Amino acid sequence: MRMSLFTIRPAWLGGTLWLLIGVTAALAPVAQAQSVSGRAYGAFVQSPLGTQQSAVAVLPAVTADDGAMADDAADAMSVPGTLTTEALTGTTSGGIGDAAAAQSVATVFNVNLLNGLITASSLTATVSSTSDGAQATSNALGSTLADLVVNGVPLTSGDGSIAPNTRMTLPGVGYVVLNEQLSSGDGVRTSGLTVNLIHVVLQNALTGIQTGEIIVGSASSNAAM
Amino acid sequence: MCRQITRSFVPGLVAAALFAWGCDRPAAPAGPKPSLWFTPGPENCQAGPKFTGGGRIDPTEGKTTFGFNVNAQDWCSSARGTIKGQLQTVYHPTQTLVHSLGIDAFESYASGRINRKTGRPGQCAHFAGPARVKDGNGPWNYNVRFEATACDNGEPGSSPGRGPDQYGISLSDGRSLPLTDLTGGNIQAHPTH
Repeated sequence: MRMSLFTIRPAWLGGTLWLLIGVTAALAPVAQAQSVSGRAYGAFVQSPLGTQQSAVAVLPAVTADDGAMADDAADAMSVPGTLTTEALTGTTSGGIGDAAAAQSVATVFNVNLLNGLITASSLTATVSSTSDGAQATSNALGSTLADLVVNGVPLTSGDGSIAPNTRMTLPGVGYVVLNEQLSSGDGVRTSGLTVNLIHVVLQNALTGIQTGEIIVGSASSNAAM
Repeated sequence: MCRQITRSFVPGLVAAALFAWGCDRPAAPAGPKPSLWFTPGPENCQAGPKFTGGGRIDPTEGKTTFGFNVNAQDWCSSARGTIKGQLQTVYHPTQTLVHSLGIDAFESYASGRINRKTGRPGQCAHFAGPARVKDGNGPWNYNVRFEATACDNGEPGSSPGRGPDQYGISLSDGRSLPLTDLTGGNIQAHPTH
Protein backbone atom coordinates (compact mmCIF):
# COMPACT_ATOMS: atom_id res chain seq x y z
CA MET A 1 0.00 0.00 0.00
CA ARG A 2 1.27 3.43 -0.86
CA MET A 3 0.62 6.41 1.28
CA SER A 4 0.90 9.98 0.20
CA LEU A 5 3.08 12.42 2.03
CA PHE A 6 -0.05 14.18 3.16
CA THR A 7 -1.29 11.10 5.01
CA ILE A 8 2.08 10.01 6.35
CA ARG A 9 3.07 13.26 8.03
CA PRO A 10 0.24 13.42 10.64
CA ALA A 11 0.85 9.80 11.55
CA TRP A 12 4.58 10.41 11.93
CA LEU A 13 3.96 13.49 14.03
CA GLY A 14 1.50 11.61 16.18
CA GLY A 15 3.98 8.84 16.78
CA THR A 16 6.69 11.33 17.67
CA LEU A 17 4.33 13.06 20.07
CA TRP A 18 3.52 9.83 21.84
CA LEU A 19 7.20 9.00 22.00
CA LEU A 20 7.94 12.34 23.62
CA ILE A 21 5.10 11.87 26.09
CA GLY A 22 6.47 8.44 26.94
CA VAL A 23 9.98 9.73 27.47
CA THR A 24 8.70 12.62 29.59
CA ALA A 25 6.62 10.28 31.70
CA ALA A 26 9.55 7.97 32.17
CA LEU A 27 11.79 10.80 33.31
CA ALA A 28 9.21 12.55 35.47
CA PRO A 29 9.60 10.42 38.61
CA VAL A 30 13.32 11.02 38.55
CA ALA A 31 13.03 14.76 38.05
CA GLN A 32 10.28 15.24 40.65
CA ALA A 33 11.37 12.73 43.27
CA GLN A 34 10.85 14.13 46.74
CA SER A 35 12.04 12.18 49.69
CA VAL A 36 13.44 12.42 53.17
CA SER A 37 15.09 9.83 55.34
CA GLY A 38 16.66 9.80 58.73
CA ARG A 39 18.18 7.51 61.30
CA ALA A 40 19.63 7.89 64.77
CA TYR A 41 20.93 5.50 67.36
CA GLY A 42 22.73 5.61 70.64
CA ALA A 43 25.30 2.86 70.22
CA PHE A 44 26.29 -0.03 67.98
CA VAL A 45 28.76 -2.78 68.75
CA GLN A 46 29.88 -5.40 66.26
CA SER A 47 32.35 -8.05 67.31
CA PRO A 48 33.01 -11.75 66.66
CA LEU A 49 30.54 -12.40 69.47
CA GLY A 50 27.70 -10.68 67.68
CA THR A 51 26.03 -7.33 67.06
CA GLN A 52 24.17 -5.13 69.50
CA GLN A 53 22.47 -1.79 68.92
CA SER A 54 20.49 0.46 71.24
CA ALA A 55 18.01 3.34 70.97
CA VAL A 56 17.46 2.97 67.23
CA ALA A 57 15.10 5.35 65.44
CA VAL A 58 14.46 5.04 61.70
CA LEU A 59 12.25 7.53 59.90
CA PRO A 60 9.30 5.77 58.26
CA ALA A 61 8.24 6.58 54.71
CA VAL A 62 7.18 10.21 54.36
CA THR A 63 4.72 11.39 51.72
CA ALA A 64 4.11 14.92 50.55
CA ASP A 65 0.88 14.91 52.58
CA ASP A 66 2.33 13.96 55.90
CA GLY A 67 5.39 14.24 58.08
CA ALA A 68 6.76 11.55 60.31
CA MET A 69 8.88 10.94 63.35
CA ALA A 70 10.48 7.98 65.07
CA ASP A 71 12.22 7.76 68.40
CA ASP A 72 13.64 5.25 70.80
CA ALA A 73 15.29 5.33 74.19
CA ALA A 74 17.07 2.98 76.57
CA ASP A 75 18.12 3.37 80.19
CA ALA A 76 21.57 1.92 79.56
CA MET A 77 23.67 -0.35 77.39
CA SER A 78 26.41 -2.75 78.45
CA VAL A 79 28.66 -5.01 76.45
CA PRO A 80 31.23 -6.32 78.97
CA GLY A 81 34.76 -5.19 78.25
CA THR A 82 33.59 -3.16 75.26
CA LEU A 83 31.02 -0.54 76.15
CA THR A 84 28.92 0.79 78.99
CA THR A 85 26.63 3.81 78.86
CA GLU A 86 23.81 5.36 80.77
CA ALA A 87 20.69 6.72 79.00
CA LEU A 88 20.59 6.59 75.19
CA THR A 89 18.08 8.21 72.86
CA GLY A 90 17.52 8.43 69.12
CA THR A 91 15.07 10.76 67.42
CA THR A 92 14.46 11.44 63.73
CA SER A 93 11.78 13.46 61.95
CA GLY A 94 11.07 14.72 58.48
CA GLY A 95 8.50 16.20 56.17
CA ILE A 96 7.97 17.42 52.62
CA GLY A 97 6.38 20.72 51.66
CA ASP A 98 7.88 23.71 49.89
CA ALA A 99 11.12 22.07 50.93
CA ALA A 100 12.08 18.59 52.02
CA ALA A 101 13.63 18.47 55.46
CA ALA A 102 14.89 15.77 57.79
CA GLN A 103 16.67 16.03 61.09
CA SER A 104 18.03 13.47 63.54
CA VAL A 105 19.40 13.57 67.05
CA ALA A 106 21.18 10.95 69.15
CA THR A 107 22.20 11.40 72.78
CA VAL A 108 24.23 9.16 75.06
CA PHE A 109 25.26 9.76 78.66
CA ASN A 110 28.35 8.57 80.57
CA VAL A 111 30.12 6.62 77.88
CA ASN A 112 32.93 4.19 78.75
CA LEU A 113 34.57 2.23 75.94
CA LEU A 114 37.12 -0.56 76.19
CA ASN A 115 37.53 -0.42 79.96
CA GLY A 116 38.17 3.31 80.14
CA LEU A 117 40.25 3.73 77.00
CA ILE A 118 37.66 6.28 75.79
CA THR A 119 35.25 8.09 78.12
CA ALA A 120 32.81 10.97 77.77
CA SER A 121 30.18 12.41 80.07
CA SER A 122 27.73 12.88 77.19
CA LEU A 123 27.49 12.80 73.41
CA THR A 124 25.06 14.79 71.29
CA ALA A 125 24.84 14.05 67.56
CA THR A 126 22.64 16.48 65.62
CA VAL A 127 22.23 16.55 61.85
CA SER A 128 19.76 18.20 59.53
CA SER A 129 19.24 18.21 55.77
CA THR A 130 17.03 20.43 53.63
CA SER A 131 16.38 20.74 49.92
CA ASP A 132 14.11 23.07 47.98
CA GLY A 133 15.07 21.69 44.59
CA ALA A 134 17.48 24.54 43.86
CA GLN A 135 19.76 24.17 46.85
CA ALA A 136 20.32 21.25 49.17
CA THR A 137 22.39 21.43 52.33
CA SER A 138 23.20 19.41 55.41
CA ASN A 139 25.00 20.25 58.60
CA ALA A 140 26.00 18.76 61.91
CA LEU A 141 25.76 21.91 63.99
CA GLY A 142 25.22 21.20 67.65
CA SER A 143 27.13 17.92 67.63
CA THR A 144 29.33 17.78 70.71
CA LEU A 145 31.32 15.40 72.87
CA ALA A 146 31.44 16.40 76.53
CA ASP A 147 34.48 15.71 78.74
CA LEU A 148 35.99 13.42 76.15
CA VAL A 149 39.13 11.54 77.15
CA VAL A 150 40.95 9.24 74.71
CA ASN A 151 43.77 7.03 75.92
CA GLY A 152 44.29 9.29 78.94
CA VAL A 153 44.32 12.52 76.93
CA PRO A 154 41.51 15.00 77.69
CA LEU A 155 40.18 16.39 74.40
CA THR A 156 37.20 18.41 75.58
CA SER A 157 36.32 20.04 78.88
CA GLY A 158 32.62 20.35 79.33
CA ASP A 159 30.58 20.35 76.15
CA GLY A 160 33.00 20.68 73.24
CA SER A 161 33.37 19.92 69.59
CA ILE A 162 36.06 18.00 67.76
CA ALA A 163 37.21 18.68 64.20
CA PRO A 164 35.37 16.45 61.74
CA ASN A 165 37.02 13.11 60.95
CA THR A 166 39.72 13.32 63.62
CA ARG A 167 41.55 9.99 63.61
CA MET A 168 43.61 8.68 66.52
CA THR A 169 45.52 5.44 66.87
CA LEU A 170 44.62 3.17 69.75
CA PRO A 171 47.72 1.00 70.29
CA GLY A 172 46.88 -2.69 70.40
CA VAL A 173 43.24 -2.00 69.66
CA GLY A 174 42.93 -0.24 66.29
CA TYR A 175 41.92 3.34 65.78
CA VAL A 176 39.11 5.78 66.50
CA VAL A 177 37.53 8.40 64.27
CA LEU A 178 35.98 11.23 66.29
CA ASN A 179 33.13 13.29 64.84
CA GLU A 180 33.15 11.16 61.73
CA GLN A 181 31.14 12.93 59.01
CA LEU A 182 30.03 11.19 55.83
CA SER A 183 28.24 13.42 53.33
CA SER A 184 26.28 12.62 50.19
CA GLY A 185 24.17 14.33 47.54
CA ASP A 186 24.70 16.81 44.71
CA GLY A 187 24.09 19.97 46.74
CA VAL A 188 21.33 21.06 44.39
CA ARG A 189 18.51 18.56 44.71
CA THR A 190 19.89 16.15 47.24
CA SER A 191 21.93 16.33 50.40
CA GLY A 192 22.70 13.91 53.19
CA LEU A 193 24.98 13.65 56.18
CA THR A 194 25.87 10.99 58.72
CA VAL A 195 27.67 11.85 61.93
CA ASN A 196 29.26 9.15 64.09
CA LEU A 197 30.66 10.92 67.13
CA ILE A 198 32.86 8.02 68.23
CA HIS A 199 33.71 5.31 65.72
CA VAL A 200 36.22 2.73 66.95
CA VAL A 201 37.59 0.24 64.46
CA LEU A 202 38.90 -2.87 66.22
CA GLN A 203 41.84 -4.53 64.47
CA ASN A 204 43.87 -7.65 64.93
CA ALA A 205 47.12 -6.44 66.48
CA LEU A 206 49.24 -8.66 64.24
CA THR A 207 47.47 -8.59 60.90
CA GLY A 208 45.64 -5.29 61.07
CA ILE A 209 42.51 -6.99 59.84
CA GLN A 210 39.32 -5.44 61.17
CA THR A 211 37.73 -7.61 63.81
CA GLY A 212 34.86 -5.37 64.85
CA GLU A 213 33.68 -1.83 65.39
CA ILE A 214 31.96 0.37 67.94
CA ILE A 215 29.89 3.42 67.03
CA VAL A 216 28.46 5.68 69.72
CA GLY A 217 26.22 8.67 68.99
CA SER A 218 25.12 8.35 65.37
CA ALA A 219 22.67 10.55 63.45
CA SER A 220 21.85 10.65 59.73
CA SER A 221 19.56 12.75 57.57
CA ASN A 222 18.85 12.99 53.84
CA ALA A 223 16.60 15.29 51.83
CA ALA A 224 15.79 15.32 48.11
CA MET A 225 13.47 17.63 46.19
CA MET B 1 0.55 38.28 79.65
CA CYS B 2 -2.23 35.84 80.39
CA ARG B 3 -3.61 33.80 77.56
CA GLN B 4 -6.96 32.11 77.48
CA ILE B 5 -7.07 28.36 77.21
CA THR B 6 -10.13 26.36 76.34
CA ARG B 7 -10.62 24.04 79.28
CA SER B 8 -12.80 21.42 77.70
CA PHE B 9 -9.89 19.10 76.97
CA VAL B 10 -7.96 19.81 80.19
CA PRO B 11 -9.82 18.35 83.16
CA GLY B 12 -9.68 19.23 86.81
CA LEU B 13 -6.50 20.21 88.58
CA VAL B 14 -4.41 19.87 85.47
CA ALA B 15 -6.49 22.58 83.84
CA ALA B 16 -5.97 24.88 86.80
CA ALA B 17 -2.24 24.20 86.82
CA LEU B 18 -1.93 24.71 83.11
CA PHE B 19 -3.93 27.91 83.25
CA ALA B 20 -1.73 29.33 86.02
CA TRP B 21 1.41 28.21 84.22
CA GLY B 22 0.19 29.86 81.03
CA CYS B 23 -0.19 33.13 82.89
CA ASP B 24 3.19 32.96 84.59
CA ARG B 25 5.50 32.24 81.76
CA PRO B 26 6.73 34.98 79.48
CA ALA B 27 4.96 35.55 76.23
CA ALA B 28 6.49 33.97 73.18
CA PRO B 29 8.05 36.57 70.89
CA ALA B 30 5.52 36.17 68.15
CA GLY B 31 2.92 38.06 66.25
CA PRO B 32 -0.61 38.79 67.41
CA LYS B 33 -2.70 35.77 68.25
CA PRO B 34 -6.43 35.25 68.41
CA SER B 35 -7.94 35.71 71.83
CA LEU B 36 -9.27 32.16 71.77
CA TRP B 37 -6.48 29.84 70.79
CA PHE B 38 -6.23 26.11 71.19
CA THR B 39 -9.58 25.97 69.47
CA PRO B 40 -9.98 23.99 66.24
CA GLY B 41 -10.53 25.82 63.03
CA PRO B 42 -8.64 27.57 60.27
CA GLU B 43 -8.60 30.93 62.05
CA ASN B 44 -6.12 29.50 64.55
CA CYS B 45 -3.88 27.88 61.99
CA GLN B 46 -2.72 30.94 60.12
CA ALA B 47 0.83 29.62 59.67
CA GLY B 48 -0.19 26.18 58.45
CA PRO B 49 -1.13 22.87 60.02
CA LYS B 50 2.04 20.80 59.66
CA PHE B 51 5.45 21.15 61.29
CA THR B 52 8.38 18.86 61.86
CA GLY B 53 11.61 19.54 63.66
CA GLY B 54 14.51 18.28 65.66
CA GLY B 55 17.73 19.54 67.09
CA ARG B 56 19.18 21.25 70.08
CA ILE B 57 18.81 24.37 72.16
CA ASP B 58 21.14 25.72 74.86
CA PRO B 59 19.12 28.00 77.11
CA THR B 60 20.60 29.13 80.40
CA GLU B 61 18.62 26.33 82.05
CA GLY B 62 20.70 23.71 80.23
CA LYS B 63 21.23 21.79 77.05
CA THR B 64 18.12 20.23 75.57
CA THR B 65 17.60 18.07 72.51
CA PHE B 66 14.30 17.31 70.85
CA GLY B 67 12.38 15.95 67.88
CA PHE B 68 8.75 16.25 66.90
CA ASN B 69 6.19 15.92 64.15
CA VAL B 70 2.75 17.49 64.31
CA ASN B 71 0.02 17.30 61.68
CA ALA B 72 -3.10 19.27 62.60
CA GLN B 73 -4.67 19.32 59.16
CA ASP B 74 -7.96 17.84 60.41
CA TRP B 75 -7.94 20.05 63.52
CA CYS B 76 -7.37 23.12 61.41
CA SER B 77 -10.09 22.33 58.90
CA SER B 78 -12.95 21.46 61.22
CA ALA B 79 -14.27 22.02 64.69
CA ARG B 80 -13.74 18.42 65.79
CA GLY B 81 -10.55 17.46 64.06
CA THR B 82 -7.84 15.35 65.57
CA ILE B 83 -4.11 15.98 65.63
CA LYS B 84 -1.46 13.48 64.62
CA GLY B 85 2.12 13.50 65.75
CA GLN B 86 4.51 13.06 68.62
CA LEU B 87 7.31 14.75 70.49
CA GLN B 88 10.39 13.71 72.41
CA THR B 89 12.59 16.04 74.40
CA VAL B 90 15.68 15.34 76.51
CA TYR B 91 16.76 17.84 79.15
CA HIS B 92 20.41 16.95 79.65
CA PRO B 93 21.32 18.32 83.12
CA THR B 94 18.93 15.89 84.82
CA GLN B 95 18.64 13.39 81.97
CA THR B 96 14.93 14.15 81.89
CA LEU B 97 13.05 12.44 79.09
CA VAL B 98 9.71 13.84 77.93
CA HIS B 99 7.65 11.74 75.55
CA SER B 100 4.25 12.78 74.31
CA LEU B 101 1.26 10.48 74.72
CA GLY B 102 -0.80 12.48 72.26
CA ILE B 103 -1.34 15.98 70.95
CA ASP B 104 -4.73 17.52 71.66
CA ALA B 105 -4.26 21.23 71.05
CA PHE B 106 -2.64 23.21 68.28
CA GLU B 107 -2.34 26.68 66.89
CA SER B 108 0.01 28.29 64.40
CA TYR B 109 0.79 31.92 63.80
CA ALA B 110 3.29 34.29 62.27
CA SER B 111 6.61 34.52 64.04
CA GLY B 112 8.04 37.78 65.24
CA ARG B 113 11.06 37.15 63.02
CA ILE B 114 11.39 37.65 59.29
CA ASN B 115 12.52 34.76 57.14
CA ARG B 116 15.45 36.26 55.22
CA LYS B 117 14.90 34.02 52.24
CA THR B 118 11.21 34.73 51.74
CA GLY B 119 11.03 38.21 53.23
CA ARG B 120 7.91 37.11 55.09
CA PRO B 121 7.44 36.42 58.79
CA GLY B 122 8.47 33.00 60.02
CA GLN B 123 5.93 30.43 61.13
CA CYS B 124 5.31 29.16 64.64
CA ALA B 125 3.48 26.09 65.90
CA HIS B 126 2.21 25.90 69.44
CA PHE B 127 0.90 22.53 70.54
CA ALA B 128 0.16 20.63 73.71
CA GLY B 129 -0.88 17.27 75.06
CA PRO B 130 -0.37 14.60 77.69
CA ALA B 131 3.10 13.21 78.21
CA ARG B 132 5.12 10.76 80.23
CA VAL B 133 8.20 12.14 81.92
CA LYS B 134 11.07 10.58 83.83
CA ASP B 135 14.26 11.91 85.37
CA GLY B 136 17.30 9.71 84.84
CA ASN B 137 16.40 6.11 85.51
CA GLY B 138 13.50 7.07 87.74
CA PRO B 139 9.93 5.94 87.17
CA TRP B 140 7.72 7.37 84.46
CA ASN B 141 5.27 10.02 85.55
CA TYR B 142 2.19 9.79 83.36
CA ASN B 143 0.33 12.70 84.96
CA VAL B 144 2.02 15.48 83.05
CA ARG B 145 1.10 17.75 80.19
CA PHE B 146 3.54 19.41 77.84
CA GLU B 147 3.22 22.61 75.85
CA ALA B 148 5.76 23.23 73.08
CA THR B 149 6.45 26.08 70.70
CA ALA B 150 8.54 25.71 67.56
CA CYS B 151 9.25 28.43 65.01
CA ASP B 152 10.54 28.04 61.46
CA ASN B 153 12.28 31.33 60.73
CA GLY B 154 14.46 30.29 57.80
CA GLU B 155 16.85 27.75 56.33
CA PRO B 156 19.06 26.24 57.58
CA GLY B 157 17.43 26.31 60.97
CA SER B 158 20.60 26.59 63.01
CA SER B 159 23.08 28.46 60.88
CA PRO B 160 25.61 29.95 61.44
CA GLY B 161 25.34 28.20 64.77
CA ARG B 162 22.45 29.80 66.58
CA GLY B 163 18.98 30.39 65.21
CA PRO B 164 17.06 31.53 63.33
CA ASP B 165 14.67 28.69 64.23
CA GLN B 166 13.43 28.41 67.81
CA TYR B 167 12.08 25.84 70.25
CA GLY B 168 10.75 25.92 73.78
CA ILE B 169 8.79 23.58 76.03
CA SER B 170 6.97 23.74 79.36
CA LEU B 171 5.57 21.03 81.58
CA SER B 172 2.55 21.19 83.83
CA ASP B 173 4.78 20.28 86.81
CA GLY B 174 6.22 23.78 86.59
CA ARG B 175 9.39 23.16 84.61
CA SER B 176 9.84 25.41 81.61
CA LEU B 177 12.37 26.22 78.91
CA PRO B 178 11.78 29.50 77.08
CA LEU B 179 11.59 29.82 73.33
CA THR B 180 15.28 29.61 72.42
CA ASP B 181 17.35 29.80 69.24
CA LEU B 182 18.43 26.43 67.90
CA THR B 183 22.11 25.57 68.17
CA GLY B 184 21.62 22.54 65.95
CA GLY B 185 18.91 21.00 63.82
CA ASN B 186 15.95 22.54 62.05
CA ILE B 187 12.26 23.40 62.33
CA GLN B 188 10.25 23.01 59.13
CA ALA B 189 6.76 24.31 58.46
CA HIS B 190 5.04 22.40 55.70
CA PRO B 191 2.33 24.47 54.08
CA THR B 192 -0.66 22.77 52.50
CA HIS B 193 -1.01 23.34 48.80
